[in-house]
Amino acid sequence: MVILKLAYRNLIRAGIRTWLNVFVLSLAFLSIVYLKGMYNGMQDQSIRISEDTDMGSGQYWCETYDPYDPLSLPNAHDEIPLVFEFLIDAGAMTPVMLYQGVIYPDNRLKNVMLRGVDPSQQVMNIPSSKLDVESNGYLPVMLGHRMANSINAVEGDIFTLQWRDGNGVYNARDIQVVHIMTTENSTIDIGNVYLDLTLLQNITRLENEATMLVMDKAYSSELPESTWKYMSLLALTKDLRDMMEMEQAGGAVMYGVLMALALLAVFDTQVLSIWRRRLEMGSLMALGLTRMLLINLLTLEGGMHGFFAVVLATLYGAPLLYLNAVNGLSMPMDVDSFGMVLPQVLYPTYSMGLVFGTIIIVLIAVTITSFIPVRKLAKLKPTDALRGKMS
Amino acid sequence: MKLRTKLLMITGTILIAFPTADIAAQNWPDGLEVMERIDYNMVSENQIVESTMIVHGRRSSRTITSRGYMISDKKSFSEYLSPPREKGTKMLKLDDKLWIYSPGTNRVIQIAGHMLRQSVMGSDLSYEDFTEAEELEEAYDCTVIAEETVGDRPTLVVELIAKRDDIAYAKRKVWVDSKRWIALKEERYARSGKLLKTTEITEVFKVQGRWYPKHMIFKDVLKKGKGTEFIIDSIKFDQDIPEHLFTKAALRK
Repeated sequence: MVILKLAYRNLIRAGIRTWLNVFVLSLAFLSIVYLKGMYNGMQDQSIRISEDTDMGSGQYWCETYDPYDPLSLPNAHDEIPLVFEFLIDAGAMTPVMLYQGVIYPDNRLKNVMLRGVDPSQQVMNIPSSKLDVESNGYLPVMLGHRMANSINAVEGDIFTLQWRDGNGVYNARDIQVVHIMTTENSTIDIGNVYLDLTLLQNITRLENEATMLVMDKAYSSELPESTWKYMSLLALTKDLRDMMEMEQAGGAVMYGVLMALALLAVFDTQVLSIWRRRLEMGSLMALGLTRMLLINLLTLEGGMHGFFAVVLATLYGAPLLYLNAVNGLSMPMDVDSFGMVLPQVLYPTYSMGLVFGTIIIVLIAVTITSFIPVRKLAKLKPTDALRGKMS
Repeated sequence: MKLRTKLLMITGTILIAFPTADIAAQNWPDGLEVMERIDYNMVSENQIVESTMIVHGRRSSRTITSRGYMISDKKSFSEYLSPPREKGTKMLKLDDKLWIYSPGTNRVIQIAGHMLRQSVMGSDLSYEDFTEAEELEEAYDCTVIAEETVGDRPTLVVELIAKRDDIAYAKRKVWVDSKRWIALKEERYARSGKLLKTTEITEVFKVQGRWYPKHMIFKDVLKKGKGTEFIIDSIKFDQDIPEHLFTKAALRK
């Protein structure tokens, strides 16, 4: 307890030197929490958006569907197994059909993925009901806002769609854009054209076929056995999580640099402190303070920088992080067109684990950094110290 | 006499006096026969063709020359000779499979799936157009439906309706020169009846006793632009073409 008081008094007495170190450390600490919070928020939101608009709580894929093999896409459809019919009728899952086609907006060729969805479905949060309209003999289609921007399309535009049906026969019809949806999920937007599933099945002559079945988020009953492959949400979001993990690993380099700068300041302070306080250390030892207690005292002084940094960061950082968590961070316009699911406003997630984990890491790092220069005091002779010598 | 009755009488008189198209149709050759005559003109054991393709873009045009070796319509091997950017690019077609070799990457890629719908070198021709291997007479019911003049040549219009529901184009129309037995124009239609592609032959020439297209214009009707010109610079029939040319290994040589 005496050592604790003494360490505290020494630090306060050091004045501006202590507070500069504490401030630098607090900045590093805050930056780490902020960046990690951003990454966590990005991952959480991306998964939530994917789940909401595309993946549901999981999917069943037909045997021939492999999103990583574009050559397999023309055959990525199969008859919906009977075992799922009850669940589809109950609204617990909805079929989606993916089919390749070509559109000619403004007489320019563009390859697209036709997405057949049931207009009455409630599983995916997309305005599919807009497809349930009469469109004066044209095929009604819906586009995402990014796709519409890329082809300069607005609601009401008419252009030609060409495709090869299930038997490989060319077909072409004029389509009309009946709705342009705004979605945060760019993967279901860019390059996609939405049609009524039944209509797509008819024009491709693939009645009652689909590529996948998306399960409702609320579905928690037993999974039916089928030849179709079940993909859990965890499996579906694996790429996303792997990518975030990679990003976090890249971010770790930055944390390392920030911490190294702050710890260097603490290290310097400790080295300087030992050099300048030789007489004081000699006197303390002469008065009966053991070497071990002296080492503890100086290590504690260094470690207390970390503690003060956490307190200071909480004082000025907590309101900043709170405001950031409430208002979020608007992403630049172009970022959401990268082909990955990114929210337009990014809300960071600061979990207790993240904050306390970072506090512990900072405290341990500061304590170790403080201890390294102090180790040599183990050989210090009080007589040398009193004469201003370091042995 | 009422006006309606008068009109009926006049129409009846015209029908008797002048044979209609339906009656004249009986004098037209059978559609299948027309197609066979074209085949007699066009089909050979094999061919070696040097050609020029002019791709008209929005701002400029590109000229690509190539040499192709073909055995019937099942096997073909072609190599681009110019421009320098495309030189050395090779394409191999075996039945309905297509591979392309790019010297820049030194890789052989099979063109399949959605890639088949991409245009060849930015032209109005897709890779899919190259992979069609079935003979028209086998795939379509051919009927002569009219006589028309294309340019200054008399032609028979042959309508081709797909026999099965797995033929790429549900309907085609071919304008056949009725003296030289060579197609001068072709239209390809979607199942919905929408016109998709046209081919126009603006110049023909005689090689080894056969009439053959010299200058063609391919056009994807749904796309903007002037289409793609295809010029046969030279063609030799029934040559000695080594079989090893039609292998994937030949692409890298």
